[in-house]
Amino acid sequence: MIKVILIDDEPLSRELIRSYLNAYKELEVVEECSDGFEGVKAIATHKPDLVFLDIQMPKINGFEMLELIDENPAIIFSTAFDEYAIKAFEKNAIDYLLKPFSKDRLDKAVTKFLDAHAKNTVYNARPAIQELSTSGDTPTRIVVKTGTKVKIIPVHEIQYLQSEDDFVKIVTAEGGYLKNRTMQFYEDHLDKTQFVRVHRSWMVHVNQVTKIDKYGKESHIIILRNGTQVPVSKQGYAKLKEALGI
Amino acid sequence: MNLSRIRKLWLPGGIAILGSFAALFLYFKQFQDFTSDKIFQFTACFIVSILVFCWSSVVALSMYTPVRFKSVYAVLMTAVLAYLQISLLTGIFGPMIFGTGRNMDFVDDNFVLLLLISFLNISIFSQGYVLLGETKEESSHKARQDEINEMLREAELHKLQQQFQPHFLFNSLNSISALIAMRPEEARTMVMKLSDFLRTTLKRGDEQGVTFQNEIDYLQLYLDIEKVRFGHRLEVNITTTNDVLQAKIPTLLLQPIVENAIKFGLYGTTEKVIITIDAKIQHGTVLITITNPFDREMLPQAGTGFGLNAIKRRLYLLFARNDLLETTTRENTFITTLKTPVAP
Repeated sequence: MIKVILIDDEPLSRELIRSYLNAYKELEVVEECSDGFEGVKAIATHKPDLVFLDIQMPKINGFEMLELIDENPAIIFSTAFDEYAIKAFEKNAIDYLLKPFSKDRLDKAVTKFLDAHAKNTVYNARPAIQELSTSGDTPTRIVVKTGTKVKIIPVHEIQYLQSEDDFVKIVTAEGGYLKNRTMQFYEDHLDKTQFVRVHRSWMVHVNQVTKIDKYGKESHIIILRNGTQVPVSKQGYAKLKEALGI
Repeated sequence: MNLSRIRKLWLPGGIAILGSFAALFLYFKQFQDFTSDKIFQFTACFIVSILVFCWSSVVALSMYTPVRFKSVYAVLMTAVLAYLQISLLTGIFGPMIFGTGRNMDFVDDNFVLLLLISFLNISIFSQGYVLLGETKEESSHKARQDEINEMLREAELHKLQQQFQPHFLFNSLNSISALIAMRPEEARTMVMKLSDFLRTTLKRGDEQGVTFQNEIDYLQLYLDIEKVRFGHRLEVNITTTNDVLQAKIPTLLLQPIVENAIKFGLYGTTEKVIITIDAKIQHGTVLITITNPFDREMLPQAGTGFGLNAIKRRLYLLFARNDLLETTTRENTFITTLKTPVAP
């Protein structure tokens, strides 16, 4: 049996997909979720092969939800979004369905999935989602997972970011959260007037800086409000001076 | 540049012209044969000469507008014209009035004075003319600009009014698509409600003010559709007074605010959403308060926005005020207050 999860905040929308899927005996809808939080839990519990995912949903949107899951199910987006917005991840998702969609259209998407499933092709929606979920404007929040709990961090509460192996540790007054992203990503996407990459593996919120000391011949060190000492490279010092207007 | 500057020029201009007339008149009066019938001729000649030279100086000066040395050219031109005017006055009009053969020594003796008087006349007149032209040009430019601004304002208002979420439309169509197979009767009802809603939206786009009752009816259509979409998670309680129901308010303001409240409430929580709308008239102002639950932990998702900016902009375009739409939070309640002056 191929396990399917439906994630959509509108009950009628889920009912429609479910009724369309009745024709496929090999597909079993194991759970329906009405928001991203439920989705994260359901995906961890059932480890589905296929997920029908709406984008605009309560609490966290479809893209943010995908950032939080460790599994890598095939994704078919179902959304009322404009087509151009979908193009960006066309290659990486199995398919996308623009609401309202016909049974034929859904059949096409499911056939695509079944073919890929039979050939064991792995679809990875994540890289494109990173691109799409952050394209254009700077994010105002970052979603992280601590254990089984989902935490939403407002960007302005971040004190600093530090790279740790393949992860970036995002530190707020409440603690640190690991996120599977690169420093480069945050340098590109966070507000440059607020966050400065002072070092290859450090990025600080300018409001957190209380003191800048000389350290050795060329380099400096920053003391943050919470006492954390952050090394500053030569390049980083120039960027920091610019951001602080000194 | 404005009209008052031109008005200021009439006085010195008039004094200069009258002064030069008086000076010449007094000068000619010394001669015994300057009899009363000559006065008329003299005056006519003076006026003609003034008009001819002022006109020519104006044409010359207003056509010639170099960027550099403008004032130098203007002074030179005026001086030349003044010289020509005096020469004409004394050389042609003088003999015309007094006959030829008269000793014209006074011209040579007082040439500088005459020249100066003429110079002043011409320069003041020409400057006044240029100023008048500029002011005229400016006021017609301003009128055009005002017209353009007004058209822009109307176009923007219209566009803001016409805005409805394509998202809402497509999601509703999707719900209808689902209902057709499962509950056809409900699907039909939904089609009717959606049609009514869209028709009203299109019609309201061209209207300015409607009664609050109309807005509530329109809102009800919207709410019925949303209730079908989101099951029974949505409850809206409306409290109004009789006078406010008949009050006229700008169209299509209430629904987007409630839509925003629903989005906020629904998208922030999965529990039952209770939205309250309270409307009353206070000090000649319609005061509408809308509350919706929200979860502090759930920050607005980027992109979904809080469509309130469009409403703020509309209120500004209508009333030139930025304080008519306000939002506050109290514990887990988000409060939106809308004030609109009661239209007559």
